[in-house]
Amino acid sequence: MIIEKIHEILKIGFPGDHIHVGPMRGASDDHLEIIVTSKNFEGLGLLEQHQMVMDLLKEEFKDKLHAVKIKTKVS
Amino acid sequence: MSENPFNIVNPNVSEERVEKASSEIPTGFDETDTVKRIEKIISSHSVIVFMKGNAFFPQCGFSANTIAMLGQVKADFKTYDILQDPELRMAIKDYSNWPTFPQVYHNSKLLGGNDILTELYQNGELAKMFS
Repeated sequence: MIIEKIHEILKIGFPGDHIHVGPMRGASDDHLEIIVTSKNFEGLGLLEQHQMVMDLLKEEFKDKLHAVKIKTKVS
Repeated sequence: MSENPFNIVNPNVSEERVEKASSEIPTGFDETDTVKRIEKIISSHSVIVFMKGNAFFPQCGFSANTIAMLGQVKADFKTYDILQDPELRMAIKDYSNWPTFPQVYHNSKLLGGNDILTELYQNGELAKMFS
């Protein structure tokens, strides 16, 4: 299941941080909503924060993942 | 509003305004090297949206939402339809280290995709940028 897989990848990339991965409401399965709350975002712009998340999902974006809605928060 | 997965700001944004604000850059441009082509497109427009479809017929909810927000803040933007240009579509993901569309560039720098634009729109920074 793509949701579990992505959750697993993000958990490894952001150890100990709060991660939410779920389906995007009203969209198909390849549209996911991701929320990551991490202290690693501190001092970074939104662009860099989102890039950090998406970098971990590079392989998934090539394959099954079509679109994500990303929200990053500094913890 | 919450039923809408894309949080479309105002799908009924005046078409006239979008029409005035945007026009599509012809695909291909006049450069054969894809990276050079990207650089040329980005540097010759202050705001450029690489998207699926164009401002009148966006082919994806994220792209539609981004266009609507830029229209609302009266940004003067151009669009580039990546569906018509598979080579550029692949190359720009590496160029910007950004795997999804739309991609909005402002003054030759990647501003972000729909999520970032949405945050900037909601906290008022997008409007400030184009006031």
